[in-house]
Amino acid sequence: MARARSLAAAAAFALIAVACSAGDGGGVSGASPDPVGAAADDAASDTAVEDATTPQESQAEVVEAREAGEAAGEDTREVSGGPTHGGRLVYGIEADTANPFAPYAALCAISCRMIMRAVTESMYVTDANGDIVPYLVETETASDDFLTWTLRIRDGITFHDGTPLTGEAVAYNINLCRFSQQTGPGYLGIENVWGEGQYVYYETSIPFATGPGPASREQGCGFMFSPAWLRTLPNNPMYTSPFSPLSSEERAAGLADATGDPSAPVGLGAFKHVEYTPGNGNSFIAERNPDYWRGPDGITGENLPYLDEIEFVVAVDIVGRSNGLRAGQFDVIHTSNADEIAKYEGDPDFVLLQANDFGETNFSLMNVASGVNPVLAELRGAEGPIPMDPHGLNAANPLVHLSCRTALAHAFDSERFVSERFQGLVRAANGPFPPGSMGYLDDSGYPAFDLDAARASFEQCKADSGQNPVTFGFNSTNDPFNVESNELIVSMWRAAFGDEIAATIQPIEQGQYFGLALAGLYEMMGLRAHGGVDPIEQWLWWNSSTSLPIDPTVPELASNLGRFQDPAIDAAYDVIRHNPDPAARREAAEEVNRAFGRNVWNLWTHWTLWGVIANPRVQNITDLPIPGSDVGAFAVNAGAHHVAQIWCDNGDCQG
Amino acid sequence: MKQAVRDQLGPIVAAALLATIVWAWFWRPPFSWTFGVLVVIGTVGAGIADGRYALRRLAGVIPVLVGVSFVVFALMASLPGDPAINILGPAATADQIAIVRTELGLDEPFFNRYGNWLGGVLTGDLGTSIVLREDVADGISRSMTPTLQIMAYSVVIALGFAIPLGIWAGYRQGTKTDGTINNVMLGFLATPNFVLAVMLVLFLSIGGLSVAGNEIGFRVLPAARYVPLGEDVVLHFKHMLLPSLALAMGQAAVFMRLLRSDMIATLRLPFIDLARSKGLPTRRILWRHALRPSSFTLLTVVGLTVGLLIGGALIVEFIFTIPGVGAYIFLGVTQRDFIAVQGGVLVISTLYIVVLTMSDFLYLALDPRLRGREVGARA
Amino acid sequence: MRKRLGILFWLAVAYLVVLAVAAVFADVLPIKDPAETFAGTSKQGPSLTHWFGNDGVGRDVFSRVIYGAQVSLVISTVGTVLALVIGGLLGMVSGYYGGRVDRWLTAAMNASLVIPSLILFLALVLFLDSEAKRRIFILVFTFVLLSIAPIARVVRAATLSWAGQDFVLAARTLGARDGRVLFREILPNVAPSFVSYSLIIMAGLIVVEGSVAFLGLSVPPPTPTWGDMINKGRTNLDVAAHISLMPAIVMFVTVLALNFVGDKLQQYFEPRESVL
Repeated sequence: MARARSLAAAAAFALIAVACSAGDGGGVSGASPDPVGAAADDAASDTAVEDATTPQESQAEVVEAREAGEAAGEDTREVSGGPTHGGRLVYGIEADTANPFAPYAALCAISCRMIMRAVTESMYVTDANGDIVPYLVETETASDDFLTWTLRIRDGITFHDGTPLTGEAVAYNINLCRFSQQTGPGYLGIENVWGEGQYVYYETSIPFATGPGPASREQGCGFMFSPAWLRTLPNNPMYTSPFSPLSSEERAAGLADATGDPSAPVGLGAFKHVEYTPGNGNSFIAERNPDYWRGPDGITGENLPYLDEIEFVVAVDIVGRSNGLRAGQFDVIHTSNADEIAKYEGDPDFVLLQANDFGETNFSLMNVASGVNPVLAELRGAEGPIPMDPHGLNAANPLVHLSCRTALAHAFDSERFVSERFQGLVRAANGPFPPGSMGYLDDSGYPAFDLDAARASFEQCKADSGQNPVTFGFNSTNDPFNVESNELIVSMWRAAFGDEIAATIQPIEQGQYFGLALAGLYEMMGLRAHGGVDPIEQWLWWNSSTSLPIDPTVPELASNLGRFQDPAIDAAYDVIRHNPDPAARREAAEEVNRAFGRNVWNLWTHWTLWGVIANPRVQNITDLPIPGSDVGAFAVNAGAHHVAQIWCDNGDCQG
Repeated sequence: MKQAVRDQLGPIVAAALLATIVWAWFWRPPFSWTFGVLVVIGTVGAGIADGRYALRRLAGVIPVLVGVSFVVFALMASLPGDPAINILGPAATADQIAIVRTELGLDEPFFNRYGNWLGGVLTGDLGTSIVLREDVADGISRSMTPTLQIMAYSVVIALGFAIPLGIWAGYRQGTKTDGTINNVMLGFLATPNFVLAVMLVLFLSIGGLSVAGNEIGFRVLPAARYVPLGEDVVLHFKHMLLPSLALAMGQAAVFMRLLRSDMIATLRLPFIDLARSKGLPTRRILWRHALRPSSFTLLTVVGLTVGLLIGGALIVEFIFTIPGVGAYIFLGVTQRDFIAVQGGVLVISTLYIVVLTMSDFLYLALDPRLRGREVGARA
Repeated sequence: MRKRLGILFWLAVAYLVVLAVAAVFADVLPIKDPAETFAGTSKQGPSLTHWFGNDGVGRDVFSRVIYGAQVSLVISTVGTVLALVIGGLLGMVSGYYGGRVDRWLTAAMNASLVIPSLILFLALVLFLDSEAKRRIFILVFTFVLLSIAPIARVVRAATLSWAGQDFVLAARTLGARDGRVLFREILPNVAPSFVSYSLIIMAGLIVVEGSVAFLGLSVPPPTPTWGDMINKGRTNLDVAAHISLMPAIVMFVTVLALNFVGDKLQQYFEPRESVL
């Protein structure tokens, strides 16, 4: 029992890495400057020129949309002539992928998801309205009690190895994720998944209000791969995971034949894997899939993809990535560095798409572990109470006191932060849900910038914590931009409380960063997380049963990183998870937001803005139609977008 | 026959080196092959020139290599607590811990572990990287090519600047020309390579600064990525020019200053006066008579700077997004990919020792006057 | 022939002295708090109130350059002094005794050169966390390891030439102990060469510290360092070049001055042109 528990908890590692850079877009408005598509192209027809927005106009639009907190990063340039086939696109991505590329094992952040979107596709996608709609799935039906779900999978789709996408294939993919130590906890409550013909069946022990959509959209386990390939992988959870239903003989037999390469994915997407070389400056190369289901010989009568080849080059240094774009080595790059985005704003030589819709929130996470966790005690059937901090590792942390957290929130001038640090490109956050998503509130009750209130709370904080100066460590990633942003935050606290506060910024190497959060070995840390279309995607991070004790002797890795327990949030999530009524769910999500405001579990800073920047030869960066729907796919999802629909002028991306 | 070879050793070795370069140029073998051939030429040449010395030198290299491997291994083993958890960080899953424990053979005594590890290393097994799940030996040998190329090109560029300037400044010692050359090169010496790299990219790749609407700078050279020599020669050198230049200028200053002072000393020797009195042209005296005796220290130092260049290469690889071994190790450090870092440090140190030895061997083979003499300014 | 040091030499010395004094007394000088962010000044160019302009979050670049000098100078000075003591001693012993002692010490010295310094530093970073004191310790440790061998080599060569001089031989025949000979007779004569050489080593260490900081692995905040400032300003080179440029210029001038002074001193003290 204890082993299984800690394994399940350990699994959170992968989820964190995913969620922390995951995020999703949706939403309606958004525009991009269009300096080239219309104005500079002589071949454009007269009407096109007249209709075209001038750079200034579209610039104004995009600023307006962004300030409203809703920029989806849609590529709205006027297009001269139709799409052209051919060309090779070089895409500069921000990181390499750890444990590539099987979805149950990979730490699949933004860069990985761009690659996934090229080589394969997902059961569901997010559409331009922010709704999660079936994609590889044709129809979904639920029983009246929402305890069983039946999905029909589209006919006539094949993987790159020629095997068909059937119900069994989909169920195999999902079961690997269910049995994986890393991704399994996301499937709590799902008892059985199996396939038959083109159908997939889900059986759950709790009403499954949202269906499989949120867990099966265009990230992580939503992506489908050929079972023939998955069966050959040595890290296949069927052979390696303690949760696998196979007998030990079957596992051994499977492992003996497992000689496949997890870094050579066999999907069903518009592009086929050709070559992958790990490391900074190296790349993942994929070529056009002639048998794509949306291709000339496919089932939809479309003619995708347009590009012959796409190459994703890892360039971790944002300045190097940006220089490479300017000097012509990259055709497209993505970034969330506001300094870089600001430089491309209004630059007629490049196309800049900005997106913050349904994106991630940036915040300072605080470790509040103290006291006991009654919810966990009940769940585990423990005799006595379960102490959250049995070794007193967090005892000296002043941030366990609400007064201290409130004081810090009141002393943080968010308007100055976003205007000076981010040139007004981003919007100050007041809760976990960005504008446009379910649960967003104009006034969440989160403490606003108010120096008098800050000082009053701070007096209480000094009394509560018995500290003067009030001392804590503030972990930051090693990225120079983040370190500097956090230094600005600390300087605001010093301006408010002077020498009575001592917050020390500790830059931590990337490899340890999430680990310290999961293990609870930190006092405060900067984080970018909680992007998502539906609030159900955040349940793992915020509920009391995943708020585990800090105990290095029995590593219990809590996906509730702040280790708070909030009955209001727990109650609201009962509604969000089990009640199919949209109005009730929205009300509950707003209650979650208010609970965060009351208890200041996190210090919100801003909603993340992503920029996708391209040379102007690259066309139609975001607008992928969804077969059978009038609404296209959502544009830029926390920096990631679809690639099948991209083409380049005259079939040549470099010019 | 053997005596004939010994008499003509310098020209023969030079011809072999030239042939290797031609071969590498037209057949484009992996850089490691070229490197291996150079090692063979150096060793054989030195062996013929002075067999006893070459043997002694080789015998001296082995304990150093063993020592280095021991230090690298001991560093890993001296981690407090459970090395597996230390390596993986506090969020290690049971699965990851098990992999690392097997990898390190943690349940055995220290010297057994060291023996096993050394055995693996000798057969080219450096383990599997924790993060990328890739064979470390593969990763390093792949990353080695760009790094060795950058280093080689930057030494060539540095010598290209240093030799003519050093000769000229030495010849015009004490004049204004000498002063100007000296001061400019002192300036390069004081410019850290990362600052130079940033400036080169700014002004030659991305259009420079915009002052009052005018662009001061060019967009002529690539700012990122690596193109293998075998893929496109012209593009390869375009991509390598800025990184190599950024690394070269500081070295050029060091080389030039050395050559200049040795040149000054040589030009005072009587045989130069003799050559002058014979009425030989100055250029001929400088290049044919004075350069060779003056370049001994310079060549030794060229070998020694390899260590510095590796550090510098790390930074330019990072700035120019080049998949070299420096960047490989650096990313390994930031991701706490311990096995990758351990392998990288071991390989680089080994390579460095080999390069140092080879540079001695090559002088010995090239310059008959050194034979029988204790070679190496390091002695 | 009487040598002159020249006006440039004295200018360089004056610059270094001013910089060192400013760094040492930074806390009492009337300069801005290097951690304070001035509202509304982010990325502003040089002005009368902020001589070197403001950085990406509105901090005073001038005061950060001065405080940055503390780190650069302290780390490089401590590193050089330790390396001088250890390397100088080893070099003198090696050159004075010769024979087997010399061979072993030389071999050990060569071995210490074998692991490239920056790579060694990276490997060490992997083992220790980013706590400020430990980072400084690793930095100094690496620097000392890096500089011992070159210093020892120079000192050994100088010792060799002095050890054969008549007055040393005389002292030895008179029965002076080795320690006395080394420290009373040889050290004063060897000192000039290694003090001037140490300035050049120090300049090298400042550059290495800059490289490490540029990679984000030097002393953690709030302590500013030059390399870190250059790195942080890199994204803004085209819109606010001063953020990177000011510390880069100061670093350049400092390294230049150290090299120049070291060069001149070497020429001044040595009868012949110096050979490394």
